[in-house]
Amino acid sequence: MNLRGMGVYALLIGALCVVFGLLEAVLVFMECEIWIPRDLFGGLALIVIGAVYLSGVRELLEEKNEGISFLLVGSILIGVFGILHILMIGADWLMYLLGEVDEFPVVNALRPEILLFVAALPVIVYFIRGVELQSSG
Amino acid sequence: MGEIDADTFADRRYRTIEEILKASLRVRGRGELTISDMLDRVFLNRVLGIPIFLILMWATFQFAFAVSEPFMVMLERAFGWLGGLFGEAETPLVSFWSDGICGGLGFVMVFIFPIMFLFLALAILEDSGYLPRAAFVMDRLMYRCGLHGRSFIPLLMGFGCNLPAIMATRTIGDERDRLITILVNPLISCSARLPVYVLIAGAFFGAHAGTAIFLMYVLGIVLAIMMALLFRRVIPGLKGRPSPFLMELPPYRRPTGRSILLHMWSRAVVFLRKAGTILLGGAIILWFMSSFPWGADLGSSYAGMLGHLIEPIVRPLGFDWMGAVALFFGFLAKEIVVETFGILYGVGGEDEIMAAVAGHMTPVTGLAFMVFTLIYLPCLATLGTVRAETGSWKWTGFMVLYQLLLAYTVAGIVVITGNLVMGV
Repeated sequence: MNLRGMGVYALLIGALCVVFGLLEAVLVFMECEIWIPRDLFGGLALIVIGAVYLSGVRELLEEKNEGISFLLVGSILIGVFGILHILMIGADWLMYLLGEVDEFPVVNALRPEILLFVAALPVIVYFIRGVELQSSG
Repeated sequence: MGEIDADTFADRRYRTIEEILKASLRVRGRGELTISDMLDRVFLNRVLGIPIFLILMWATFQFAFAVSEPFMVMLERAFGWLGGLFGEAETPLVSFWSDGICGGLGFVMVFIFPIMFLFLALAILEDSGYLPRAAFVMDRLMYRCGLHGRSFIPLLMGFGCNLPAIMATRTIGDERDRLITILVNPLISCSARLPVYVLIAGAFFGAHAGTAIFLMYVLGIVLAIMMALLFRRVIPGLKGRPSPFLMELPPYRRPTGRSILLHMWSRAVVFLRKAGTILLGGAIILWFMSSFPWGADLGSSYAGMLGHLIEPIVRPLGFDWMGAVALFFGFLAKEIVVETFGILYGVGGEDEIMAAVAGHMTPVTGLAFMVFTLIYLPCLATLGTVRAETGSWKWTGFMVLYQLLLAYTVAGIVVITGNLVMGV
């Protein structure tokens, strides 16, 4: 993967993280029906992840290797949050099976963190392969 | 050779290591970074380091609370079934089984899952090599607040249990730094307080319960830092600058499943051992106090008498006599607070007890109760350790007094502010 391409990728995912994060945080104080959850801390977490991605964009566009650091950590963080929310969907499903909740609307449970995790998967896979190569060689 | 201080010694040692490495290793090409370099560049970043630490801790508590919920329900149902084996609690023996053992001890046992999940997440952070980086990132902030950088590890250990955390302060060389770390350590939320948070936050904050729990942990850290700063500035024997801190960061590693599960299991064993001893004892005492004189209503029981005696002290905070009894016995072990509610409310199941809690408290008093539980006193065993480690009744007594005063003040602020916001 070339560094400029990585830079554009980081810019895109970082911007999406910040936008979704702002929406999640701002919606707490607004009355409107939308699929994005109202979650102040979840939103702040996404903004931090977005900031991590965006911090590396300039270096990546200037083709400096150091910028990869931010793309790597941003992808780890979105991976952590994506997996966390998938596990939370699993827990909700178990609660539904146990009869503790009346319905299990899986579409509502699909949070932006999970979609962003899916979007960041190619980079995550790229880094996992990189780590395996580095540890084997 | 004259005596040199620890920093000069460390500095010379690293300079020598660097010289040996330069002479013996092939240097990587310019711009060639290892994965470790890349991770450290961001995790130790001056601006992003602390926010990253905070969001990872938030994710940890969300995981511990939300993902463990169905497992808690399953265990709770098992205890509910066991409690109903002998029918209605009409005789003391059946009441002892259903209300004391299954309703009290059984109810607190369900909290083994959030504790296990919390330590599963913390084990991943520790084994990956991230937690020492968190200590490094927090050092700058802590130094400014008058705490020694090495204090962070005992404070971090306090998330598990304050007792070994206080013993771990032995690694701090300077006596003043060590004493300050001991004095503020009980403000860090140990795992025993987690059941109280899970119960109250679950009763009042619904989908945001994980966030409420996370805020309790953050409040503990903030108060510990604030008190350290205050002690450093005000108490004559503790004045001065903290000594500098130097730490070696371990390499990043991919955590192994075996090590993480062992870590989690070791915490579960600690909890089970506690359940079989002090929590069982607590359940028996509480059951006896709430059931006798046999046939009397709860308010006239021994527990009721004790509660009514203490109630005037905590009434301004909005806690009733049951809350007062729970806090009183919580001094033995914090889990007993939850056990007390389980026995005194006399209802089975997490949902029913949460509903009972919601019936006895408002969201504001619930939050104040969580805050009070966080701050008011460490458990008896921790207090004994503080006495042993400081070798002084004076400092132990000082810690008890300042924590009680601080708990009352902060919980009072929560009540006043909360009522103002809610328009009560």
